[in-house]
Amino acid sequence: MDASKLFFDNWDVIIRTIIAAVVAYAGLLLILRVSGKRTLSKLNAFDWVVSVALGSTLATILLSADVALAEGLLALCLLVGLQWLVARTSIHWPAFKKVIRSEPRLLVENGQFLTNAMHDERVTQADVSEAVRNQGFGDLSDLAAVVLETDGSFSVISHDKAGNRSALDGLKRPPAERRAG
Amino acid sequence: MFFDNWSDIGRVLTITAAAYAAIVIILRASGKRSLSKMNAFDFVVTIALGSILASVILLKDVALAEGIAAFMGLALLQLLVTWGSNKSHAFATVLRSKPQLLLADGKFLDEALASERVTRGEVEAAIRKRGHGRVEDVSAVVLESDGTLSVLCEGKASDCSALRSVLDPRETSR
Repeated sequence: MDASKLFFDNWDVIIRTIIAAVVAYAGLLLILRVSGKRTLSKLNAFDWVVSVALGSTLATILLSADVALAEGLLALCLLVGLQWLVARTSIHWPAFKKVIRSEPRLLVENGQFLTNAMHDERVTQADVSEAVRNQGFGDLSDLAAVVLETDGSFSVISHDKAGNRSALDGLKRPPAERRAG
Repeated sequence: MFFDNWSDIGRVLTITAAAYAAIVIILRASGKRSLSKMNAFDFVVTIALGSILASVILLKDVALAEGIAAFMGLALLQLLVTWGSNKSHAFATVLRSKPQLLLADGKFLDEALASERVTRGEVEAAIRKRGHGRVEDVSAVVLESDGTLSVLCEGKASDCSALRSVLDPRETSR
């Protein structure tokens, strides 16, 4: 292989790359602006994947000569459109939401590990302890709840901030342990 | 499948070193803002930059110069957009959606939730992530223009000065 080709091919491709960058960037900006803030939120795992796919599609449009701009822009529109449709349908149709997103899961309640839930979610005690330390807590018994959220992150809630636990309402848990505020 | 030839390996080694160096220089020159996640767009551009690096390293039909052109192109556009948003308020409003209040003084704003396509469950998850258990204690939840949810817990929503631009459309925030 010609070694100089490694670093530089010809000016045509460079110019193509720059034009593609300007058009695709502007196109994506427009698509995202029209579709709203929600598209790039990372409120659940699916949002993340779409955001990463958008970035990767943008890169491919710039560099891959066999992807025409129109195809690339179409792919961006489709990704954003599908994301819009899923979010829209989830709002209006709870059954659909259940299929699409997992439920948040309680892993620690009142300082006790819920071993069955942890086993189901394939989370170790070490993982939970790490999340607890991350939030600056040293004593598990200070905690009202640790929740594994749908985007894969942990929420750590101490007793003094738990209040009447209305933000924990949607979670699966034995009704007997429900406390009044 | 497992091994092609030594010249390909050599190519990957050379290109990786050169592309990495180029990227460090471009990012350093374009400033912190290129990789910040201050608006929705920055995150996608960051992913695109990473993806360009990967393509340059592994794809034989992408020469280093093209990768650098793509990289510089994106960095420059990012620079241009952020510079423009700082200079002109009109430009900023066209590019960035306004932050939207989703919950005020412990009450969900259902119309705002529906129009932004955010569920109550997602707002509750954001509240839990901040370590709070009581929705009623939360003074405000704001969907920011980068798609993140901010949870504020001090006092009444109308007293929070950081909410000025969200509560009053005449107030400007750049």
